[in-house]
Amino acid sequence: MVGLIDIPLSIKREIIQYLPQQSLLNLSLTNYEFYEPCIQQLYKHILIQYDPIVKSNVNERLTDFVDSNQSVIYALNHDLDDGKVFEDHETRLKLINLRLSILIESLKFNTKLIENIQEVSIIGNKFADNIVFLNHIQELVYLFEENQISLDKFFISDHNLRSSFDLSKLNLKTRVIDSSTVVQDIIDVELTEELVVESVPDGPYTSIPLYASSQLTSLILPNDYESYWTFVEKVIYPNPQLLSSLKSFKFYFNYQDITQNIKLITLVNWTKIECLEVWIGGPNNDEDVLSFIKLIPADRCQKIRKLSMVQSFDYSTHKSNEVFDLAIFSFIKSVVSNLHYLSIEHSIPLFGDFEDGFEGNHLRILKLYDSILPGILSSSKYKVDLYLTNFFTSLASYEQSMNTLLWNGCKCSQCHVTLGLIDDFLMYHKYYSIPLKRYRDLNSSNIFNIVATKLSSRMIGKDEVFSNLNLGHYPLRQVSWDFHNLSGLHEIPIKCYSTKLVDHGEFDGEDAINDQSDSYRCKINSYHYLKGVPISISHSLDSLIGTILNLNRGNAEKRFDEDLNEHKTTNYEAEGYEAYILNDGGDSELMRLNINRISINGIIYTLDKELNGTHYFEKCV
Amino acid sequence: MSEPKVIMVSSDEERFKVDQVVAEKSVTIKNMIRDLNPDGLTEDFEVPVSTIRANVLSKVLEWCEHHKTTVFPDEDDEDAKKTAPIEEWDRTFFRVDQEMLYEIILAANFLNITPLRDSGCKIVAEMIRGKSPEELRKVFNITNDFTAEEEAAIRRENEWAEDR
Repeated sequence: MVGLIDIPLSIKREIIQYLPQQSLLNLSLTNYEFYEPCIQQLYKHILIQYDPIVKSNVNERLTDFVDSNQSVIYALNHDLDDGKVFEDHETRLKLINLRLSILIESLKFNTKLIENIQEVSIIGNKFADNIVFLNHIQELVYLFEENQISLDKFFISDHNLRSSFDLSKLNLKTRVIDSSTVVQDIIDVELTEELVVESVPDGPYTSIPLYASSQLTSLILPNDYESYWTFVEKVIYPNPQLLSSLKSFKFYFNYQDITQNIKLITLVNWTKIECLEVWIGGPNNDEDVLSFIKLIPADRCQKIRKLSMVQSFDYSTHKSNEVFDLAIFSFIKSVVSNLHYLSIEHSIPLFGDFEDGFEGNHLRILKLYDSILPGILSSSKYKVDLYLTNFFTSLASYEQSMNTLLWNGCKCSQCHVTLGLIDDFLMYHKYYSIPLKRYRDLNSSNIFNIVATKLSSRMIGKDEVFSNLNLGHYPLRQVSWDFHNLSGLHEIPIKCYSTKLVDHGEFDGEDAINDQSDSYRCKINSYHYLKGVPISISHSLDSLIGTILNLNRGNAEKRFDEDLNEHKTTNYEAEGYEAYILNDGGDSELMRLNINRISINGIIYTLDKELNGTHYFEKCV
Repeated sequence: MSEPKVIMVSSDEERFKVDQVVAEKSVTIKNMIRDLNPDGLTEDFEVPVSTIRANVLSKVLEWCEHHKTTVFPDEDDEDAKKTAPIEEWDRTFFRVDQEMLYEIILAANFLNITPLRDSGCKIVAEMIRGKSPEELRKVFNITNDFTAEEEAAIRRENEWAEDR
């Protein structure tokens, strides 16, 4: 009889690649037959980060295996049931350093272990000031050098931390260069397959034959517009052979000089491009997007399997934002045939504060994403992983829909508590408006916009790894967040009041509540965020997913001809009534579901069909 | 005239007559057909599959029939393999005993049907997840060949990765 232990090693390895770190440890302890392959997998990709990860839920029918992609060094798990959150920065760093020291000792003691390491990633900006941490990482770098280990990647997301180490002696396939890189050091890139440019190194560039190598298959240029085009001018234009073998590329549209776009587009061999990130936008909003997007030769981009679209400019109105979506959808439609990964990221003003207020019609943006986009994706040969990295942030900018969510949303016991907490927060807090130079009331759009931004920060994306092309590579983080620290990049003070703001008369004027002490602090903290907010937001998104899955049955009392009027068709006899009337939860005549998973602000829905053809979904929050 | 079929003969000499598109879910068979019939099949093509029992081959062909029009993504994309859950149909298909499960995986490996092998491996991985070493030994009938000292040493060595 064949048992698990009897199957060939190659198959054991195939199985083991889907195991998270604790399961690898447990299986390695059962028998020597499993020890070696488990240990190889455990040391393959090491991720060092501040927060614990969101684990795949093995009890769900549709669980993914992303948590098996990395062995993560973090402090301790948060206890979600008891709300025990590890806040103390020093304790966290001590625990991370402790884990690192054990790892380093093991690598020194059993020198075979280090040969298994292919990739090390250090993500986050909390480590650069910690001497013990710096020493550990330096020791790790020395170990790789001493043992002449050929790593694929030693990736450090934080600029300050990165500048503390010299990684040039490691034969890395992925290299990151930034302003601290010495130009001379980056000439020798024979082995480099992927080049990530965070910022432009200091020159001089003249007459230096940078990157003669044609090995380069991935070039991820800076997120910053000025740095991007400086690098293109100083390094790419003099060395166009850099682009000759590229399969992965980031294109940032130049909104100041359209001829630069044409010049760069001409240099790229689009027929080879498989992974493309496009940053697009400009001060003229929809006009810019419509004219730029047509410049990319879509007919030559038929190999694209991973596509990321990033809105690079804050848009002033909801309408122009919707036109942006339509423009990029037309591009997606033209390159959809081999697509199996799509990421879309909007650029939303802080607090969702569009120039035209919060009054847009949210039904329009819902229609774009619950019907039009899934329709486009149904034309791909493959099932698509769809990452809408901040779609809920966009949705939060429509106040009407956020009011509905806050006061007339889900009534389950979880949402009762969480939404009640958010409602309370609105009633007892103001935020400091920098342009107005005074404290202002929060509205539902403000608060959900910040909730949404914090939810998105659970994903490791372009802000840390410089593109959104690999959002499935790292598991989600259990980011903790204090409600009083609402800002992301900007510090926006939030002030607590001990009595309800409505009891203080009219709002938004001078900070008239002079009897409030600045030191008053309410008890809402990161525990509340971790415990309920992601779950409650997911409840509000379920109906959107239901519509994509054709599960929302609508008004069962409606006569069929009312539905037909909605669809404005006169051809229903030929097409069949059923296509218009029955939302039976399966594929319809009009649309075939072709999406594997949808991630909205880091809330992950996996989609499938029951055996009878009815769609269903599971989610991971 | 009907399309030529592929006849697969199991180790216990049972014959399975299937459409070419179904048999070609196996890259091994697809290559064999292409190599021996560069101009395409003109008559039925018989392939002995002497390492696979009839009841296993029947299951494998059931999977191939169901997925004959499915296009699977690039095998080299590790991230894509990890983000894809097990399809409901496959999950039901793999409701078999452990021995049959491994035999299907081995058959898929032999015939080079990567998506079937991957799906089976994910099923086994799900069975392993969340279990202690003792539970794993019991469920998978594994004998512990470590001494207490060795076990302690392995635990110490990898303590940095303990999930707590």
